[in-house]
Amino acid sequence: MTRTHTAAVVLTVLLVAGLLAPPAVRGQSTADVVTIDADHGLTDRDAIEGYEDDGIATATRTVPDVRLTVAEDHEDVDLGGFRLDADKRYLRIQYNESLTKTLRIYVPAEYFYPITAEDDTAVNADVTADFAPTASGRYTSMTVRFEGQTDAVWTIPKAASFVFWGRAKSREVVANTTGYRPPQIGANGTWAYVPDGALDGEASYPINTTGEGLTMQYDSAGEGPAGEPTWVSVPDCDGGSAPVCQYTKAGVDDQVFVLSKTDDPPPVRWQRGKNLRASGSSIINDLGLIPDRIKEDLSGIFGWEVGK
Amino acid sequence: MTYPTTFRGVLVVLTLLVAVVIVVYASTLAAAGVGIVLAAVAAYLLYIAGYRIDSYLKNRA
Repeated sequence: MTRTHTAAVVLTVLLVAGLLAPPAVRGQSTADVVTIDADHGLTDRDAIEGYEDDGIATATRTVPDVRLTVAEDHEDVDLGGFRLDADKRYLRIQYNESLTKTLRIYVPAEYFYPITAEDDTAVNADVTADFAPTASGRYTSMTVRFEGQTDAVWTIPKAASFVFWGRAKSREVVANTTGYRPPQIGANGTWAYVPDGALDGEASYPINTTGEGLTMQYDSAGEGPAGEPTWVSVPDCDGGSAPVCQYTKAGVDDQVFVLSKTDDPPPVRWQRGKNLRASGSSIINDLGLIPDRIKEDLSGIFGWEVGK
Repeated sequence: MTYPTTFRGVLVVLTLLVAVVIVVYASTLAAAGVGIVLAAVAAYLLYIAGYRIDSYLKNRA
């Protein structure tokens, strides 16, 4: 065996050994991640509404000792220098422990659209984070490793930022000059979500409307193939087998109620105004789920085991 | 009760059945409407294709 061959064999053995090694040896294992997930104050309705009004929301946790801030203005997260805030939002994490920890935090979609990024470096600290949408599309899942006490800020690009910025600015100008505040189409055009648990136990949840229509959808991923969220319009409460439905009350013109018909309701999102694109994809999703619904009914009637 | 015997008759009955299934299983009126239109267009295209194939087979000699 020549020297080259020997080197190749050694390299192959090392590579195979590396692949077969347990994850903890190779690098970060999932067991080391502290999963804060949605268990923090930024998911509260009050914090979201405060953010829509003031452009800043903050939440604090004691275990682990961390402070989360989402802001539209760089000064609110103590970033100096000249920065254009129109096309971005700021996510600040103040980690106040000396221990090395990897945190996973879910940021609701009301603050910014779920984004995907790997090894995104903070603008003011040598810390990188991974961002990915959760399966439901309800949150951005952020995973970040801190090597000790750190104050880190990430910039989050706004989707179609200038459209929303222009819309917000023109709305502001109209409001300042005429005193009339035009109706806002969603929170900067984003989806708002019914808070987790608000529909548990066949409960109903009110949604404020402004008389310009409402686009409301639920995630029917439980009906179809698992994985990707499948958003379908929430039907009216006049029959049908959808797990949630919507209704209005006589004399209440500015609210629509979403009613859960199961103990385990799916995620529900809404947007003020008629979103034709979302309605179109909802129709396609709805039609695509018909074979699964038929299979489910047949399996219910005849006790068949029909694979999805 | 008479059953459809022509290709067109069978196609119409099948399309009606598909339309009923769509109405029963679609969760919104809009989805049902779009589904029925799609089923009708598919049935029409199938009819045209069948008609062409039939003509071809009859006239190939």
